[in-house]
Amino acid sequence: MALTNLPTASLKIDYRDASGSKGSSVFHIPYGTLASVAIAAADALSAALNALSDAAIDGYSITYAKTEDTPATPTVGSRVEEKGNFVWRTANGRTTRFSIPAVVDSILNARGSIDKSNALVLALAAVVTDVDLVFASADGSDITALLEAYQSFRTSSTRQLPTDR
Amino acid sequence: MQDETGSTAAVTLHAPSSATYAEIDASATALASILLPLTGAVLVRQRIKYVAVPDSPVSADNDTAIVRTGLFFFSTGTTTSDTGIMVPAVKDAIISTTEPTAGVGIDLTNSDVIAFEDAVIASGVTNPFGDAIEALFVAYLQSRV
Repeated sequence: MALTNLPTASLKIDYRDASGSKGSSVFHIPYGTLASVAIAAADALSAALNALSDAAIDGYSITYAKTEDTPATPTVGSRVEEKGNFVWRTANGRTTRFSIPAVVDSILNARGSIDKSNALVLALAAVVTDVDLVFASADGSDITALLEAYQSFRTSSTRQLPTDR
Repeated sequence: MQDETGSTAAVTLHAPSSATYAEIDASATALASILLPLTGAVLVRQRIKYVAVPDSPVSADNDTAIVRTGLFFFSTGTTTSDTGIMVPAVKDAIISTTEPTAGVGIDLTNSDVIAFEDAVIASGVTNPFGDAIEALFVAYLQSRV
């Protein structure tokens, strides 16, 4: 089992026309291209494209993707609609959050909160707040501590409903 | 992450845009090893995405529709696959006015088109297989609805 990448990462430049409709140009860049180099290339291409298109350039994204070549088998009964929500304090006094799909029952308290003293949760907090790692809020502020954590459920789409119902 | 039914969902975290791919990838690997015992789903994909947006909102130059697309075809060598790049809402100024491609072809001698070709080649862009782009050889107008 390993995460493997394609030969290239993708650069997607986004446009919006006067009606609000959106479009994009997609480029490929060698996967080993440094992000700083890819960003410089994206800036140069955006400027060149701006001269070719009447639409406004809304920005761009550079995506490095890896896919698991041999995925493990999910736990029986696991559902991504069941979320573990983790809310974190950040260094600038704000909060940030992410959710873990199909959260395991063993870290839940009886009323649906997540046991913050559970060893698995403590390990997660240690990694997320580790200053040697890069995790931050959307505004770039360091994540400093776990504030609250709880279970919630999202609505299932039709495709997510059991096929043998 | 993928659950037993095949449904997928993502865990999304942020990192400073100044962080390198290697730094983010190492952090993601460290996180994944901690994350997997917390979920019944399994890891199927990882994406590291750098996003840039303008400082202030920008407007379209005029009412050219986004579906009025220019298709630009680039060669990557004699034995490797060509690649195409779409440009939405292309300007009238780059459309060829001479036959046989008047009104549908894109003028490869237009200075903005040449600047685009130069930018593509200089930027190190490739086809999906990683073969470097060498030259723009044809471009034309297409409506993509």
